[in-house]
Amino acid sequence: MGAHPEPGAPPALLLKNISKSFGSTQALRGVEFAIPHGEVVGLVGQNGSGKSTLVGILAGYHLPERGAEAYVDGQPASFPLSRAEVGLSFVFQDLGLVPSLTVLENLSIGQWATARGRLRPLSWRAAHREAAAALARYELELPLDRPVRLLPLRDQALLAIVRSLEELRRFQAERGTARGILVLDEPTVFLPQKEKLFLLSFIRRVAQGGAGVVFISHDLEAVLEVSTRITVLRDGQLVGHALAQDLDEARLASLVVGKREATGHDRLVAEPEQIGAPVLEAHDLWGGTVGGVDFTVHAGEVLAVAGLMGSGAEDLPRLLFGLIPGARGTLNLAGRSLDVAHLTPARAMAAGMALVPSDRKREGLALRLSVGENLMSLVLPQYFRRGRVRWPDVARSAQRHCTTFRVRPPDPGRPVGTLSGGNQQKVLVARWCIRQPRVLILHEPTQGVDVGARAEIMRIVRQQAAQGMGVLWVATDPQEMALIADRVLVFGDGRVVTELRGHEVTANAISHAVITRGRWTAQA
Amino acid sequence: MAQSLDEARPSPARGRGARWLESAGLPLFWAILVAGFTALRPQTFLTASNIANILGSNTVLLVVTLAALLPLVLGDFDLSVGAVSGLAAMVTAVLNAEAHWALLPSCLAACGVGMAVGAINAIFVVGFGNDTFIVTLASGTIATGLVYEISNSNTISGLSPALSQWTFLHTILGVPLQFYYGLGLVALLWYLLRWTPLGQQAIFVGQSREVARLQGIPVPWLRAAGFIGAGLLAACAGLLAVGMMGAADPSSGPSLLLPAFAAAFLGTTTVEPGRFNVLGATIAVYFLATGVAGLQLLGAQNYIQDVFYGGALITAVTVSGLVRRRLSS
Repeated sequence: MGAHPEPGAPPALLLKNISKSFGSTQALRGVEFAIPHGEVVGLVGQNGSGKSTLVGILAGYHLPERGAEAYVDGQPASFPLSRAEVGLSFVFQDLGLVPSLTVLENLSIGQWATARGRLRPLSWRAAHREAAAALARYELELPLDRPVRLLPLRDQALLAIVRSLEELRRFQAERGTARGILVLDEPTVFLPQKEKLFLLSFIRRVAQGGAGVVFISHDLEAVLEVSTRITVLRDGQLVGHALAQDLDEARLASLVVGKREATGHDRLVAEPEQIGAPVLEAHDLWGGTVGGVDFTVHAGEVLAVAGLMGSGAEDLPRLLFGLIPGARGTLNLAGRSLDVAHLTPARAMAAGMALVPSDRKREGLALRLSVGENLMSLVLPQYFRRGRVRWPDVARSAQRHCTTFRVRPPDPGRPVGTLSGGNQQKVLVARWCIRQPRVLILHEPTQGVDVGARAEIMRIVRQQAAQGMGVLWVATDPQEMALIADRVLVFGDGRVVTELRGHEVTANAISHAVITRGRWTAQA
Repeated sequence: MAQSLDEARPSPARGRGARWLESAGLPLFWAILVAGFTALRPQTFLTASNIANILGSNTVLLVVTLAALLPLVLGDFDLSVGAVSGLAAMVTAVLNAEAHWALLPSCLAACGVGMAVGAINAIFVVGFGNDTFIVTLASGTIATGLVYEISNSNTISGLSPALSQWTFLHTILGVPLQFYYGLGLVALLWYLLRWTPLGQQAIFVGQSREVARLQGIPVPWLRAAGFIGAGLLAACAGLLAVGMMGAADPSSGPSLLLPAFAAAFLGTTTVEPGRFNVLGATIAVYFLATGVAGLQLLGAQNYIQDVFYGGALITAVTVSGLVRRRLSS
């Protein structure tokens, strides 16, 4: 493999003074980021820290603001960075593979996409030979004629990485240089521990071959394992660069989380006497990334569930609504027992559950239908009297609910798709609240919602809880959870690893528990 | 009443004037068409007999349009409705005229055949998750093949005259009975889709299956019911066609498909802009019928009908696409 550059050589890519804002949100503020040759740089930060924006700038999706500088091997370069000229290749979390096509086709497509003379006949034999050679270069063996969907997840990740490395090789051949940067965005989230270690050692090997590698992950353990240097972002600002050998997980977690804390008087929590009997008891839930979970939600309580991608938290809402095939477990709702294996949305609803899904546009609202229709869809049968739906009554009620739930503009006739994200979300939450469920499950209820609407949604949810509803708040923003939650369950590897209650519910504690999968709090 | 309805149903974000103009576009265009043909053919166009002809002889198209509309509301395309109406017509004719079944059992058998094709469509589209275009294109082709098989490629006549009498020959106010049957079906479907919670559920299914599913709506069953209902409606259209012609012609069914879709899409521009709706489609059927009748009075050749229907379909999908995009922006 390629020669190691001499110490003191300029980094493969150096970015300076990178700022970027979206509307009134400052996503990045004067950030500096260096990618040396032959090293793995870990890039860490919480959601909203500016990581994704920085990757977007590397990938050319975003342009930084004026004053930004870029140096490729010490030579100034301009934005947007040209992938071919800098020698940049990306592997994103979804890996970008076509599952139904074979390993060979997935490996070759990049080459064909950029090849000149697209009408030249393909030689499958040559493609086969080249693909085999490519895999051999990285000492990997993958079945070339197998559809990618049949590969284990680890091999899919490896394939995506090899494809990127081959792209780098083509860039290098075209430019006659040896440099290259591989950007890996959360490539390990779905992998079990053992497979992850193999992948990490492979990534280290790639860097030893001379490429600069950027490794972006929430998984601090993996970052520490694979990286030589680590760059930490928080709230769009650079916290610092450090050598991985100088850090341990607890120290890194503190850097990532910082010392922000919500002020006490903002908290919207229940008084102990407001919390009543259990409304939902879940026993031994399995399905998707959830692997053996028990919990109880009480009347009047907001129970938050936190966890990284792959921790199980993100599948819990859909599991509780019968949307994950092959799930199992038992639910107890006010004395009524439900078998999760036979759960459907209709049964979940009949038992008193309500789900506000995370994908508002795809699963939540019929965007072309009106606010009124979306708001009233679940209670419409109540307005079917003497042979027809009494639309004027529906309109009056819809109008009233718009006011109660602060939907703006309060016009039930408008297509809901023309409302702002925050107001769409209020319509969605309101639809389920109108039905008076026993348990309200909210999945990322403040995603894509502005600050004002966020506060209103939290207040609405708290009001509903105060009327005796049990609320399950599944989300990723620890700040928010610290404001609204009476209790927090932290998920890791499919299970509940930590429970925070009362004064333990702080943004810091949640963040730490989430990114260390509870280990840090266990030590503390 | 109409006012409060407006408040509950969606309305474009633009001003009332533009909104009104949008809804009124098709009826206005219809009025212009009528005025134009009347000016060009004052002796013949706006006469009682021509109006009765337009109203009476297009019920088959109207009912096939309703058949196409029902799956469209639910988000599915049923390209078999034309062929199914042809099959139902032929089944009636063969059973009644050749197998000497009584009229009523023949008609019921034809309705059963229509529903059976609908059920097959439902099994392969909803049950197996296949593409709705492909499955219904295939089932429609099979239905047409069966028509030629059971009729030996002949026009079958000699049916009980009662069918023609009770569909086409008896008139009220000079307009054949089947026009009123058609209006009855329009009213029924309009009631179901507009005035019952079931209809609202169907509309949600058509807008987004995922959203509907997460609200506990039995999405597969509603879609299946849509296909079966479409088969039944198409069969009814076939019965009316036999009644009107007094015979079953093996080539008549499939030619109804395109105008039916043209009417269904044109209908999305009016009454409830941006969605498939029964009243809009009904207006569109008679708009198309007026255009064709007028062109024929002007002496146009028969092929002009196809040109007119095809042009109307392209115009309709373009306009309805524009309306949709604006509504969801």
